[in-house]
Amino acid sequence: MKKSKTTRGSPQAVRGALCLTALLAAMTTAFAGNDGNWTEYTADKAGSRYLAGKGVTAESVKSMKVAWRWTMPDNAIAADNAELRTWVNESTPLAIDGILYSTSPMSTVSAIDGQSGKTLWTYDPQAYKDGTPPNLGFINRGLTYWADGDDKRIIVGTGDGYLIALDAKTGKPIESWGEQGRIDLTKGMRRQVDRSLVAVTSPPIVCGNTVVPSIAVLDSFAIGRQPMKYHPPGDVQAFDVRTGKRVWIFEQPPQKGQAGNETWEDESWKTAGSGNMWARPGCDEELGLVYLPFSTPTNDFYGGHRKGDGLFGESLVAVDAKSGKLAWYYQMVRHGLWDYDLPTSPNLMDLTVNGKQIKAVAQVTKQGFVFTFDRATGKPVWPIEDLAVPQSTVPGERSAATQPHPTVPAPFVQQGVTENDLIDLTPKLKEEAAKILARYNYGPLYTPPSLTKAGTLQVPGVLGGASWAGAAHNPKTNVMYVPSFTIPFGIKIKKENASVYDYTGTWAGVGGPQGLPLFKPPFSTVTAIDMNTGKHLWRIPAGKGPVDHPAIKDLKLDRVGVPRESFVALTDEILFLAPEGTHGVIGLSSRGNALITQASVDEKEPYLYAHDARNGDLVGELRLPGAAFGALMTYRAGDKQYVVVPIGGAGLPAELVAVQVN
Amino acid sequence: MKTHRHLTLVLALLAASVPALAFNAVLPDSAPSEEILADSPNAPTFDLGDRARIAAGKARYQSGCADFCHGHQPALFVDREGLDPEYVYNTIRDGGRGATPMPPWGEVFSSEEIWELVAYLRSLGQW
Repeated sequence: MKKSKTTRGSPQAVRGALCLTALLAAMTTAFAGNDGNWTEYTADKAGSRYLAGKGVTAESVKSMKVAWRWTMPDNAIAADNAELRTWVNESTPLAIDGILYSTSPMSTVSAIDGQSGKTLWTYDPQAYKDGTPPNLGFINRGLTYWADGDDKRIIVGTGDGYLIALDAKTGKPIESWGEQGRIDLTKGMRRQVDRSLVAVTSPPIVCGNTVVPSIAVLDSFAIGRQPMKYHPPGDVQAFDVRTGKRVWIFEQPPQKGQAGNETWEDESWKTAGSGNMWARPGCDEELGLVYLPFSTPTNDFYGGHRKGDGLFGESLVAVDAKSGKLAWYYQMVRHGLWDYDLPTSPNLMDLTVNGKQIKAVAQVTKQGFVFTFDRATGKPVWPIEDLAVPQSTVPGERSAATQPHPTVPAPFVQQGVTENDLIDLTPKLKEEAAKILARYNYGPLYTPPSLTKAGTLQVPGVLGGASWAGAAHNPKTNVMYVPSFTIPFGIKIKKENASVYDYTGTWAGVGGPQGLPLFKPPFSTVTAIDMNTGKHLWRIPAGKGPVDHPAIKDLKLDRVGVPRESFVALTDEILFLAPEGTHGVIGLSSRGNALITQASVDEKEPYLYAHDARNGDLVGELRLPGAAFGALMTYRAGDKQYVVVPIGGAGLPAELVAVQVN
Repeated sequence: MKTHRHLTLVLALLAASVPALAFNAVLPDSAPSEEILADSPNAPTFDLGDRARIAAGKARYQSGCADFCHGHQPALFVDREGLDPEYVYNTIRDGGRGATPMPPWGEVFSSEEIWELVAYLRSLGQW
């Protein structure tokens, strides 16, 4: 592990600040818990996805019902412009004092009455005027609320690369903020970037007086487009939440003289791009630190042009929220070749480990690990071992000799591939699965992508393990709930003849025999982990899954889990879970920068499930009007508590569905 | 010209993918180089309407093309009209060629196995 020294102020000054901010933090927590607000995309800045939920019980969820449905403005916009088509609807609202604030795939912002589902106002930034955003097109996962007295604002990042501040009461832009209420994020990086190559998909975080937006950069592997020599960099920008003025920039890759620059050989830091932070950061306002989860540098599957560990690729980086100064970091994948981006905001939690109080930060990863650190210093809570990993045979590649493996908690998903992992529910299925496996190269976790056969069978695949759906955490019990799934991907490297790279990657999701998954069930799970001890408490399948498939229905299996990700929201007694819906890619956007997909009309398992948070028992379920495609949230309005599920998009009407759960 | 013809075919596949959709699916600026284009395949050695071949193609499709790509009930091909079997064969064999992330399957499946995939996709559409 390589770590920088902390660079914050004197201990005395920090302690004084701690007293005041701890009090404020405690008040904030109490406010959220008692008033039923969901003030952040992940419930709070700690990423808990938790709200106390008085009266939400194993009994109450037996009579869950749809209270209202809200249709997003995108449907009307797309009806007027046939060029526009969104990805699936991944937009999750906030709830503040009975009012919901929601974005939409096309980055519109609306205020909605929390009891009736009626629209109060809508602001349309027209983020679609230039065309489809990169990678997966129109996606906007949420927005951010900030208040100081009567000054209440909604901050949203858009699909065309702007950051916008609105008056939460009226939906009008804050004219004094940035330039007439908006900031152009394409202009703040060390080189201006093509707008069609960047987008904001995750909501920004406000940490103290600083707002830190995430930004997605064209992932060449996602659409097959050749990476450019000067790909957009992964720089993180930060702004004053009151004025919109830029306060710092954290350059990624680090430039000459900056910590980490030495990990880029042959001056590859000058040209390498991506390595950006598309997931949402975490924030500890008491420590004044913001936690940045970074992704894989360009190109995702071949690093012959960026030899070295390549900081801060796939690193969790803590920086001072006021100055942007590096406090500590930990690189979870060295010289990444697997697209193992840090996919979600970290979970901040106050642990008691062997009698010692630790303010911790836990990062769940695509490859199935939980990395846990003291969030003030970056010191691992439990030992992390450097283990030797298989080496690449692709010419010009120099894969890292070792990769970090946390010893505690244990991995929460299958890692790597052996013949024993193959589905064996019937002899015929096992035989067919072996034939499919024979198409690929395979081995343990971190087996590198390859040139031969159908490439390397990557498990967990590029979509996780844990995914952007993240994990929920109860701050009272310190139990963390990690949804995950096993989706193998075939990563095949191909030689390029007319590219700035000698090799690039192609990919395909890998299925098993007769339309079933390739590996043994469960096909997806939720793992409950006691984070005070690091021990797994229980694991359940996430959803029912294909138990009625003709090849296995006679086995009368119970639940095997959907072979996709699931979204969770947590109350004291209930873990709500909704499996992701299905869709299929049908083409490219007109700008050639994004995949276009069609959501399934006849979804097999469009359900909201309620599990007992203590033991995982299924205690309630509700068939929804469509399958979930975005993160869940829960809130109270009046004396009712609701769980909201984003559905539709990608050819179906994009909606929010509010389910009454008490 | 060969390149141009290929581009036109890919364009046709993407743009006409689902008639109900009006987005224009076109290729990005970077065109595949001439040398990576393979020669046209021979004609299928069996009847593309053969049920056993369609079933074999379906099983192969489900294991390599469905999950997180085209879907198990692929909107790209259900009720699709106007596709050229040879073009579909070429696309499966050679992959996305820098336009999409689709891998080339020509080193993995035999010519006969690719034609079985074509037979399955054809059975979903009207071509």
